[in-house]
Amino acid sequence: MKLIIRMMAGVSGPWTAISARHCVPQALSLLLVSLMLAGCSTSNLAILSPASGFATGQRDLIYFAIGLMLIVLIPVWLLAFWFPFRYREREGTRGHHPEWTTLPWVEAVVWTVPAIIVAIIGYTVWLETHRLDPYAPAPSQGTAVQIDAISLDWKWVFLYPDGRGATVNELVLPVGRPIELHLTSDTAMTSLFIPGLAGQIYAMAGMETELNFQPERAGMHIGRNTQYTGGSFPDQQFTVKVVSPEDYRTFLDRLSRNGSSLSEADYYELKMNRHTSPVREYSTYPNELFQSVIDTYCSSNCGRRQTEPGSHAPQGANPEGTAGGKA
Amino acid sequence: MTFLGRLGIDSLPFYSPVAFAGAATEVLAALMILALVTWKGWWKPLFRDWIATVDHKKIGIMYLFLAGVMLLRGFADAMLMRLQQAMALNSDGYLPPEHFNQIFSAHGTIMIFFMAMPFLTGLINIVVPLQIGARDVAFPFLNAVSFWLTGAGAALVLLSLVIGKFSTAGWTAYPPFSENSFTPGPGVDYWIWAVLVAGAGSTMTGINVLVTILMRRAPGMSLMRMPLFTWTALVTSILMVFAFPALTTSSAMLALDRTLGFHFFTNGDGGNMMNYANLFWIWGHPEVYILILPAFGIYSEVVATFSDKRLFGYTSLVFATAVIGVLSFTVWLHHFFTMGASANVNAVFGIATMIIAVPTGVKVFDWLFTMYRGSIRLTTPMYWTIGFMVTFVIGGATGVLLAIPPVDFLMHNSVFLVAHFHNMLIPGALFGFFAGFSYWFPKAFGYRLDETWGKRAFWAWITGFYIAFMPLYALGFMGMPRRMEHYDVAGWQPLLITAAIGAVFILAGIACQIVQLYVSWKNRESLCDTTGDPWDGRTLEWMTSSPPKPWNFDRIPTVHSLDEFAWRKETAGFVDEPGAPDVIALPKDSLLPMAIGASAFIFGFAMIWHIWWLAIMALLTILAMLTATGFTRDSGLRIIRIENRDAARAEVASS
Repeated sequence: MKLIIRMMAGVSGPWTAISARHCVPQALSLLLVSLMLAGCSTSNLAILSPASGFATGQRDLIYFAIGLMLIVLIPVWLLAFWFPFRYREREGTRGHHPEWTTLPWVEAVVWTVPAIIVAIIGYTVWLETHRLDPYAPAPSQGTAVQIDAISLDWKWVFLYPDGRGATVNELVLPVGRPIELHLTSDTAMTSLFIPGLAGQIYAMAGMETELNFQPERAGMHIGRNTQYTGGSFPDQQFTVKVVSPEDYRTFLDRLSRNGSSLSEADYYELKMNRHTSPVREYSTYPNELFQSVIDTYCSSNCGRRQTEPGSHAPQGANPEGTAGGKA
Repeated sequence: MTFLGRLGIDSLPFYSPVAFAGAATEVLAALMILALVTWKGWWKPLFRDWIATVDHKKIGIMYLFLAGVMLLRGFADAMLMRLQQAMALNSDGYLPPEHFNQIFSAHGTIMIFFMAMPFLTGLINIVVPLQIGARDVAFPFLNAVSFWLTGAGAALVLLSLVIGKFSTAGWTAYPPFSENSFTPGPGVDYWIWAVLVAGAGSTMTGINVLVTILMRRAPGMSLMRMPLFTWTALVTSILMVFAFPALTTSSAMLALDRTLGFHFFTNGDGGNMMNYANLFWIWGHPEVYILILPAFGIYSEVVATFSDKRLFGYTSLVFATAVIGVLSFTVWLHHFFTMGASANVNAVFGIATMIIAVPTGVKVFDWLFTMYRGSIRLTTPMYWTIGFMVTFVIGGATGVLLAIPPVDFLMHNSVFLVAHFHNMLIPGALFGFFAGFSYWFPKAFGYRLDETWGKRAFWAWITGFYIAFMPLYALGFMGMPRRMEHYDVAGWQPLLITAAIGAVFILAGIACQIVQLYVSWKNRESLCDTTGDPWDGRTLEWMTSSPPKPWNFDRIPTVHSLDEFAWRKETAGFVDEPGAPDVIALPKDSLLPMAIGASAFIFGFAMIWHIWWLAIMALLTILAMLTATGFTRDSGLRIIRIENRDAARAEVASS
C-alpha cells in the first residue's frame, strides 16, 4: 500500500511542477486518488491485504507489473507536457525542425523498451499463471479440505466433506490447511470470489470448476457472486470464517449435532425460492447431491471430478512455490 | 398467438416512474421534432437533401447526428446509474432492480453500437474518400443502406423505453441468463434484433470502406502514401468484415434459442454457454480496436497538422496499426480467464494480450516525437490529443494488469474492469472522435467550431473523467463487483459519491459542446472557412472547398508524396499538370435505402413481439426492394462535366 502511494506521489510531483499551467485538473484528480487510497485503511482494500498465499502472490504481481510499467508511463507523462510547452508556436521559428521526421535509434528504443518490459512481464505471467493456477493444489503438507459449493438464486450452498453437514451462505474454513473448493451452479453462470482469500472462478450448470487456496490467518471475509444474474444478484454473498483447526472441528461437531438435515425437498425449496437466504446449517445432506446437481444438466460425458474445458490436466504443486509467495 | 403477438397494453412502462418519465420525454421530443419540421416546412428539403442522399459526406453527417443523439441517451443512463449507486447503501436507492438492470444494459449497448460505431463510421464516411482523392465510396447505395440499418437498430433501442422493456442481461447478453428460462419477455429480443440489424449495417460498412480504400485511391497514392487516418480506417474495415459475422452468428443463435426453442447456449439439453462467450468475444475484442484504431488515426492527423511537421515514424505507425489489427484476433479468451481453462491456455492468451501493448506504446511515443521540434498550435483537437496521451496510458497499464491471469482472478467482474475499459474508450476512442469532430467540422460544414467553448468542454470532460473513474479503480481494489443495484459496504459510498460528482463534470462537458455548436453556428460568418484549408492541413481533404462539392474534386489530384497537400505547398514552382477534361459520374439519389432500413426496423419489431405475419411481410418487402434495385437498368448516374477547371488549380497555386 505504501509502495503504491509513494509511486503516485512520485508521479504527480514532477508532473505538476512542469506544467502547472496546463494540467491543474489532472494533477488535482490524481492527487485526489492518492488521497483516497491513503485515506482508506488497507483493511478496506481487501485485495491489497491478502490472507492467503494465493492472494498474496496475486497482489504482489500487481505491484511488480505497475512498477515495471512506470518505466514507460513516466516518460510519456513528462514528454506529453514538456513537448507542447517547449515547442509551442511563438514568434520566430526557434526549435522548429519540420524535417525531423525519423531517427532510427529513437524508433529502435520505442520498440525495444516496451518489448523488453512486456517480455519480462510475459515471462513472469507464464510462471505465475502456473504457480497461482486455481486448479493447482495449494502447496502444503496437510491434506486438502474438499468442500462443494452450489450456486443458487441468490445464495450459496456449501457441502462439507464426508457428509458432515451443509451450510447456506456461510463458509467455515480451518486456517493453515489447503482448501479445495468444487463449484457448480444450479442456475445461470455465476462466479465465486472471496476478496483477500481466493481469486474467482465461474460456476456453471452441468460442469464442475475448482478453486484451491490456503488461508494463512484467522479472520472474517465476505465472499460473493460477481457474475451478474439479475434479481437479487447484489445480495448473493456469504460470510467466510477462517478459524483455528480446533474451532473448525468444533464447528463440524456442532453442525453434525444440529439435528436438521437437508433433504432433497429442502434443497428443491431452496432452489425455487428465488431470494437470498439467512445463514442456515444442516447436519446431513443427500449423498451425491453435488453430482446429481451436475447431472441435472449433463446426462452424459460429465463424470465426477472431470472439469470443463476437459483439457485441464491436474496440476502438480510447483516445487518452488511456497505458501505466501514472496515479492 | 394473437394478431399482435405478445404486444399488449401492459407493455407500456407503468412499472417505474423513472422509466415512465424517460419514455414520456422521448415521445415528447419526437413529437416536438416532427412538429418543428412540419411547421418550418422542412419535410421536402429533408427528404430531397438528406433522406434520399447517397452522398458519402451527407451520410457521414447523418451518422454524426445519430451518434450525438445516442450519446445524450447513453449519458443519461450513465447519470442515472451513478446517482443510484451513490445513494443505494443498504437501500434500494430510487431505481428498482428491474429498471437499473435495463439501464446498464442499455448504456453499454447504446454507447458501443449506437454512439461509438456511428461516430467513427460518420468520420470515416466524411473524410476517407476525400483523403484518398475519390469522388465517393465504392458503393454509395450500400453506404446509405448501412446507415439506415444502423438507424433502424438505434430506433429499436429507443423504442424499447416506450414499448416493453429493454434487456436486463447486460450489453454482452451472456447466456444462460439471457435465455428464456431466466429472462423471458421481449427485453433480450430487443437487444438481439437491434444488434443484428445494426451489425448487418456495420459489416456492409466494413466491406464498403475496405473496397473504397483499396480501389478508389487517386493516381500516385500508393499504400505507403496514404494518410494515417486512412490506414486506420483500412485496418478497422478489415476487422469489421472479419469480426462482425461472429457477433451476427452468436446473436442469431441466441435468437434461435429464445424464439424457436433451440439449445445452443441453454443450461442442459446439450447447450453450452461457453460457446457463446467465445463467439461473442471473437467479435468483442476486435471491436475494441474497431473503435480505437480510427481514433488513433485521428490523433495522428491532428498531431502532425498542429505540430506543422510530418508524422514521426510514419512507417512504424503503419506497421503498429497492422500488428494491432492482426493481434486483436488472438486475445479474446482474456475476457474469461475465470472460466476454468488450463494455466497453459490462460498464460498464452495473457501474454498475447500484453504484446498488443508494444505497438500501442510505440504509437504514443511516435505522436510525442512528432511534437518534438514542431511548432505546436494548441487548438481544441490538440487538447483532446494531449489529454488522450496522458490518460490513455493509465488505461493501458491497467489493461496489462488485467491481462495477467492471476490478477484477473481478483479484478474480473469488478468496477476496476469497468474503470479500465472506460479509460480505454473515453480518452482512447471518444476523445479521438471529439478531436476529429472539431478538426474536420469546417470541412463538413464550412465553418470552424468555437475554440473557447471547445476548450471548456475539454477541461470539463477530462476533469470529470478522472473524478468519475479513478474512484472505480480504488473500489475495484476494495472488491466491489460491477452491476450492483445496491450494496451494504459503507466504505464504498464516499467513492461512489465522488464518481457521481465526476459524472456531473462530464455533463458540464456535454453542455459546453452543445453551447459550442450553437455559438459556432451563430458566428458562422466570422468562423467561415473560405479557403478549404483552415488549419494549414497536410492531406488531400484540405485541397478542396469546405464543404466540398458533391463530386469532391473538380479534378482528381495526382499524388506525388506522403502528405501530398503539404508537399505541394512546400515544393516551390509546383504546377499541377492539366489532364484530360473530367467527366464526373454521380450516383442517383434514392429513397430505397431508407425504405429498406424502415422495413428492417419493422421486421425487428415484429420478431421481438412475435408478430409473425408482420415479420414475414417486412422480410418480403426488403427482398422485393433489393431485387428491384438489381433490375434497375438505368445505372443511375448523373453526369456532370466541369467546364472551368482552372478555378481549382488557381486555388492550389495561390496557397
